[in-house]
This record gives sequence, structure tokens and C-alpha cells, in this order.
Amino acid sequence: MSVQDLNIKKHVKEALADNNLRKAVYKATSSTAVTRQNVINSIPYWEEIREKAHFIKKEAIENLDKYLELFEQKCIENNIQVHWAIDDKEAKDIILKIAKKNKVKTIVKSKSLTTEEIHLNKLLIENNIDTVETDLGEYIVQLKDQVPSHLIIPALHLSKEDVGNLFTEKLKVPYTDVPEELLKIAREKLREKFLSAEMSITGANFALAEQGSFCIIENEANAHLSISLPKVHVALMGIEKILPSISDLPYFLKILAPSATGQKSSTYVNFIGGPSKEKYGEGPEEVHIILLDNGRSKILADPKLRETLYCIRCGACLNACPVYQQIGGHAYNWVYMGPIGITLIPQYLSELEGKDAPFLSSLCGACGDVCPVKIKLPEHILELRKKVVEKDGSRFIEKLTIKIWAFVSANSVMYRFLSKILKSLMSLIPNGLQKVPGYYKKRNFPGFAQKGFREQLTNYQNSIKK
Amino acid sequence: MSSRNKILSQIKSALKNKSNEEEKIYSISELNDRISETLPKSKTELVEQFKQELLKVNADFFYLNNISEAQEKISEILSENKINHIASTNQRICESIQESIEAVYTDVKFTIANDLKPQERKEKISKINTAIVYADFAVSEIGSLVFLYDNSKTSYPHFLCDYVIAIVNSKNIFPNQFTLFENINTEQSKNMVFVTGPSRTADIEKVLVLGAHGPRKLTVIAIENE
Ligand code: SF4
Repeated sequence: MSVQDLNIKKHVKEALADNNLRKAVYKATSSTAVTRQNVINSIPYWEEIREKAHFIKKEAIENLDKYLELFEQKCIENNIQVHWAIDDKEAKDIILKIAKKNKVKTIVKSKSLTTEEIHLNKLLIENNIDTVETDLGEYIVQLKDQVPSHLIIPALHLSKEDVGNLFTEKLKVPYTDVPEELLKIAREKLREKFLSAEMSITGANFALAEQGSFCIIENEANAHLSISLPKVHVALMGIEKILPSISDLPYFLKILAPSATGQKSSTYVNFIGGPSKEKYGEGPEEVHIILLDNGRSKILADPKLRETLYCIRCGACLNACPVYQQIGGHAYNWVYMGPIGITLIPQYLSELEGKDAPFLSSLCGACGDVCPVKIKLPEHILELRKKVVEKDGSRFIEKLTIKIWAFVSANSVMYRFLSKILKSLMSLIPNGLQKVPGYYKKRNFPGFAQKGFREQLTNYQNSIKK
Repeated sequence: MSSRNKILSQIKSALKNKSNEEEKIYSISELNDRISETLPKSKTELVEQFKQELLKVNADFFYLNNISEAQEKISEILSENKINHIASTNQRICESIQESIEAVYTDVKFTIANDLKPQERKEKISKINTAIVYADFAVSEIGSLVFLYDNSKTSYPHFLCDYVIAIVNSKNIFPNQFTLFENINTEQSKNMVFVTGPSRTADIEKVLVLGAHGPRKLTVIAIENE
């Protein structure tokens, strides 16, 4: 994978300065969190299902090689062509080759974060292949030349007015900001594409090893039209998407929709078990599945952190995260964002490239509480902070400060003495000017209390005695 | 070394360190018991649950005694909505509905997806507003319909038409997805789709809008006896 400068700090600052963005993100995440909770309240065995899903994922990941081989074998039996891609470049080469072989001029894409991960659209467009995103949110961000800012709600950062202006500018239609009208415009444009495209590219939510089939879950029917109209269907999936068998699937169907959108069930669950043309007289003549590694086998090496590969990309941890709620998805400057993003960034890239990511957390634990597959996100965030600090030499001052702090706080006399000195020093600075480097510019560092904790405690104890 | 072998060998060596997370002594029967506690106790409750869930996902629902009542209901819907062209499949129930409607309404035309060549099929069906289709199974707990390609051999009427009327036999309604999967021959039926309500999106400011890229409206008719 190519080295990227994520520049997270700069993006966070920009996001924090954008009040409209913060409002939009906060509104969308908090409303989704409420609908999620309502549905979960109606499922009395929610906790048990989470537990079960966690251990199914554990079984799949701890035996990944075995299940991938089984999946491959069963796919071949079902006439699905299986490809393996070690990295983004190889995956892109495979897709381009399939497109060229089939003389493809138009590709319809249905929402897939894995294709975002490998920056696929850019390559296809450079090769003069008209490539359109068909999920409404993805279509909007593609028109705006942006990337999704949320795992489930790609255009969450944009208002209906933004979308209205965008459609007028790019699609040359009269301005409207009514969601129904905007959808109608997109539907008409995209229906033409569905009917004329020769190839579709999708992701896969779950791959079923024993059956050699995979499923795509959605609400808009764009994925269904993508997999049933063009003559070639290519699905790109991370190797971690595997489940041992279809009998494991109901547990995941039960947890995914409530966590992602607050629905009891998503509108469509599509199962693809081979090219349908020959069997049924319609749909694709060829189905390809690309198994993408791109750093995943590296993540597997740590027996604890490999749990981050259990993620089913539901987005619940984003909606629950007080940091994501303030900065939105673009600040992370990578395809996966929020609590799961900050654990994946330093693992996929390197501890140094992704060094700021694990610090985008208040460690409140909300992400771990909501994760439907019970990934212990707060633990992994801490572990990755540790790894980053060990690798990152530029943190010398921070390390020294912590060492001094540890030394001082282990000695009660010295601790008391130094707090007194600090308190008197702080009181010399006029109000409103207590800036501390690295602390948020627009906020003052809170002053020291007039009385220290010990003093307050002694006073309190004395008052009780009296 | 091919990428396949390279990836597999990297995985194998990465997995040499096993996770030491202890699996909770997890009793599947306990979970099953908890799930069973929530199941409808009778057929009436099952159908009622199915109905309530369908209403929640913005679908209409009718529970009728037999196919001729269903035919009557469909006739009513057709005249109310001034529908004169219907896309359908060549499944037995769909054919019998077609026959009875064509006998009464001479101006209503049926186009059977399975009779058309692929290119023609997608073009023609996408111009038709209404579809009548048959669902193989349903799930009451979430108001879902299950369509197996093995039986319909097409999904164009189900997805390309704006308004879908789906018929399901009440004996094929299962209480939840666990029981559903026990009853589908998943070894045989590998291409299938579960449908829960009309297509929808909330991608713009989280406002729910029906009729994203698929149907805008869904009516489900459950019949007691075929
Ligand atoms: S980490 Fe858990 S909560 Fe976050 S997206 Fe993945 S599955 Fe959902």
C-alpha cells in the first residue's frame, strides 16, 4: 500500500471550525442512535445474539485459511470465478482486465467500502469507463468529488440544500431541496445506467464458505439491479468477510440492520450463488469474486488486535462516538473512520503513518458497548496508542513529562509541594490567557481549585466529626 | 508464488499465535429457548405479527381465504388504481390470476417476464408499472418475503416495476429467520432475495423516502388455501 500523509490534525481543526458540518453530523448520528436503541429494546435476546455473533466471527477468523479454501472450492463448483489479490494494485488490475475483456463501457457500482479502500473509481474513469455509484448517498458524494463520510450514510455531512445545489450544477436540473424530488432525479438518471451498463461492481457483506455464495444487504434496490441487469458482475471483498456457513447468517441479519440504520431488517438481502443467465435466462453470464488481502493478513498476526477484523461495518460505533459526532468522517482522511477506523488506520498503514488516529477517542467506552459483534474497541484503541508511542520518536517531550509526572505522583510530599507551586503560578496568569500548548486553542485550561483534594477531604472529614 | 498461495501462507503463519480469549460456555439451546419464548403462539398470532410488521415497513396487507378471493381483491386494486398493464411470472398461481383477470377485464394486458429474451425482458418490464408475483416464503417477525430464483426464474417484475403485488401462501410464513433457514434447501437454492417492504432511502438528511431504485409500493396478499 502506498505511503500516505494522513494529516489528521489539520483535518480535525478544519472540521471543528465548520459549524454546519458539526450540526449535520450530530443530528444524523444522534437520531440513528435513538432508532437503534428502540429496535434493540424490542429484541429480548440481543446480548446473547451479540455474544453468539462474536464467537462465530472468532471461529471464522481463527480458521480463516481453512474457510477461504472451502469458499473458493464451493464458488468454483457454483461457476463463480475466484481471484486473489494481495494488494490494491492487484485487485485493480484484475477488475480492469475483466472490464477490458468484456469491452465494458459503463459500470454500475453499488456501495462498497472495499472499492473505496483501493481507490477504484479513479482508475476506471482514467481508462474511459463510465463508472457510476448507484446508492443515492454514494452518487451524491461522487458528484461532489468527495468520499463517503460515514460507513452507512455516505453523504451525512451534506444538507438537502447542498444536494439541491449540487444537482443543479452537475445535472443541470432546476433547483429543489425536497428529498423526494432529489431522489426522483437520481432514480431517473440511474435507471438508464442500470439498463445500459455491461458490468457491475459490488462488495459483499458476508461470504458463506460452505455454500460458495455471498450476500449483499441494502435498502435501495440498487444492489439488486446491479447484480441482475448487467452481463458481468464483479464483487470485491476483504478476506475477513467470511462466515463458516449460511446457518450462521440469521444471527448477523438480526444484529446488522438494527445497528446500522435502526431497522429491524434491511429492505433487501440478496444472495448470489452463481451466474444466473444460464440457469434462469436473465442476469449475469459471469460472476467474479475477488478476495482482497491488502494488509489484512498482517492485522491477523496480533492475537488480540485481530478481533478488529470481526467488524461488519455497521457504523454503530461511529454514531455512538463523541469524537466522530464532532468531527465527522472526512477528518480521519481514510476510508474507515470513527472508533473502528482509528484501530484499523495504524494497522493497515503503519503505526507511524496512522500515529494520530488512535488518539481520536475520549475512551468513554461507548463504541465497545454498541458494537454488535462485541469488538473490544476501547482496549484496542489503548493498545494501539501504546504501539504508536513506542514507535514514534517525536513524542520525546510527552514521554519525559509523563515520566516526571509518574515520579512526582509516587512521592506524596513532593506532589503536594509541586501542586502548590503550580497553583500559585497559574493564579499569576490573568483570566482568559491560560493557554496551554497542544490544548484546544479556543478554550482556556481550567484553573487549579483553590483547595487541593487532600485539604478538601480533611475539611469534609472534620465537618462530619463536628 | 501465486497471490493465492502467498495470502494463504501469510494467513497460516499469522494464525500460529492463537487467540487466548476464552469462549463463554455458550449454550445454544439456551439462546434457542429465549428465541422460542418470543414466537407467536398460534397461526392467528403469526399472521397478525406478519401484518403488523408489514405495516411498519410501509407495505399493505390482506389476509384472504383462497385464490378466488385474492383474484377479487386484485381486480379491485386494478380498477381503483386504473392499472391496465401487468408484469408477471409463469408460476402457477400467477398464471391462474392472469387467466381470471383476463376473463373479466379484456383491456388489462399481462406481460410474462419468462417469455421474453433477456434484453427485451429488461426493457419491456421496466416500462410496466405494476407486477404480480408469488413469494415462496415469508417471515412474520420482520415482515419479509423470500423469492427463490429456482422457482420464479426472474426478478425483473419484482424490482423494475413501481408497484408490486405479492402473493404468499399462509402455510409458508415462518416465525423468524432461524426457522426459515431450517426450511429452505440452501444447498439447492443459492440465488435468492429477501424483500422487506418497498425500496427506500434516508440518505438525504435522514428523511425516509420510499421508492429508491426499486418498487415504491408493495401489497402483500396472504392466502389461507391455494
Ligand atoms: S466496529 Fe463494531 S460497531 Fe463499529 S462498525 Fe464495526 S461492527 Fe459496527
